Amino acid sequence: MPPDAARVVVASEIAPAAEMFARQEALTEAVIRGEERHVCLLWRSPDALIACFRDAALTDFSGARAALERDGWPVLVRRSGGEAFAIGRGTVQVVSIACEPRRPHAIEAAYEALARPLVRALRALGLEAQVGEVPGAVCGGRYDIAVGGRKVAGLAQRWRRTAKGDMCVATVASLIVDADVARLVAVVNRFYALAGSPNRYRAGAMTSLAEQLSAAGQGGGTDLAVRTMREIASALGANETPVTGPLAAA
Amino acid sequence: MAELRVPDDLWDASKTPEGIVANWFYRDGTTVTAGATVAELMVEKSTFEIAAPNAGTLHVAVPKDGVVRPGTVIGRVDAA
Repeated sequence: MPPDAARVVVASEIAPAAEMFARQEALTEAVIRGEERHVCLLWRSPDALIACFRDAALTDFSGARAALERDGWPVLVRRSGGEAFAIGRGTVQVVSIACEPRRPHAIEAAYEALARPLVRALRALGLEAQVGEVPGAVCGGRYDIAVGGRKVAGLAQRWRRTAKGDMCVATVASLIVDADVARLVAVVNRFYALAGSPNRYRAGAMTSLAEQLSAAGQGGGTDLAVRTMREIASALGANETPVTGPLAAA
Repeated sequence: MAELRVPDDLWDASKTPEGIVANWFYRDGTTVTAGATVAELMVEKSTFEIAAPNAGTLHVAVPKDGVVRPGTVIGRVDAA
C-alpha cells in the first residue's frame, strides 16, 4: 500500500454512537502516536444527537439533554466545530484521520480531501452533488454537500498535535442516506429550543440520498446505506479495504 | 519568551475572515509545560489546538471568544 494511501475501516455492525466515538478516538490516538499515517472509519449508529462543545455551555443544556435522552436520543458532545446534528440508522458517518504537513490553507485542503471522494461516491450512486453552504440547513458550513440544492452531508474538523509536534486532523462527515429528514431536523430544533438557543433549521433545506434517487426515478433499493458505504470506501482510494459483514467483496 | 501564534496561513482568510479563541485550558499567569495544549481555536466548523512552545508562565493576550485571524498572537509563554 502506498505510504500516503488511507487504511479504510468499515464498521459492518450498527453500534451505539458513544461506542463508535470511542473507536474513532482510538484511531485518532493511533495517528497521534505515529502508529498510523492515514485511516478512515465509516460507521452507523442508532439515533443520537451530536452536540458541539459550545452547545454544552447553553443555558439549559442539561435539561435539554435529559429530555432528549428520555425520548430515546442520547446526546453526545464532540470537540470538532459547528452545531448540533442528529444521526441514526439512516445516516452514515465518515471520519478521515491523517497527519497533515504544514502547508498553506491546511484547513481547506483537509476538507477538500474528504469532500472530493464523497462527491465521487455520490456520482457513482447516480447523484450529482455540489459543495457549499446551504442556508437554513442544520449545522451549516462552507463544505456542506448538497444534491438538488439541499444538504445531504456536513463536514467538520478537529486538529490536534501529534507526538512529533506535527498536526493530525480528523475530518468528519455525516451523510443522510435514507433517514427521515424532517425527524432529524425536528429533534435538533427541539434540542435548541429546550437548551435556550434561538437556532432553528428548515427541513426543506435538507434531503436524503434516497429522496434524491427517488426524484430521479432511480429508487434507492435495498441496503442503500451499505452500497453508499461501499462507494465511499472505494472513492477514498484505499488499496486495501478491510471490511467485514455485508461489504465483503462478492 | 515565545509567542502563541495562529499559523500565518492556516486557513484562507479571503473565504473565512475570522475565527475565535474557543477555549483556554490554563489561566493567565499559570505555569505550563512545553508541548501542553494551552488553547483551542475555532474557525467555522474546525477546531485547532495551540501548544506551548516551551515551559513557563502563560500570558493570555486574546481572551476566550476573542476574534483571531491567521497570524494573530493570542498569548505568550515566558520561559521558566
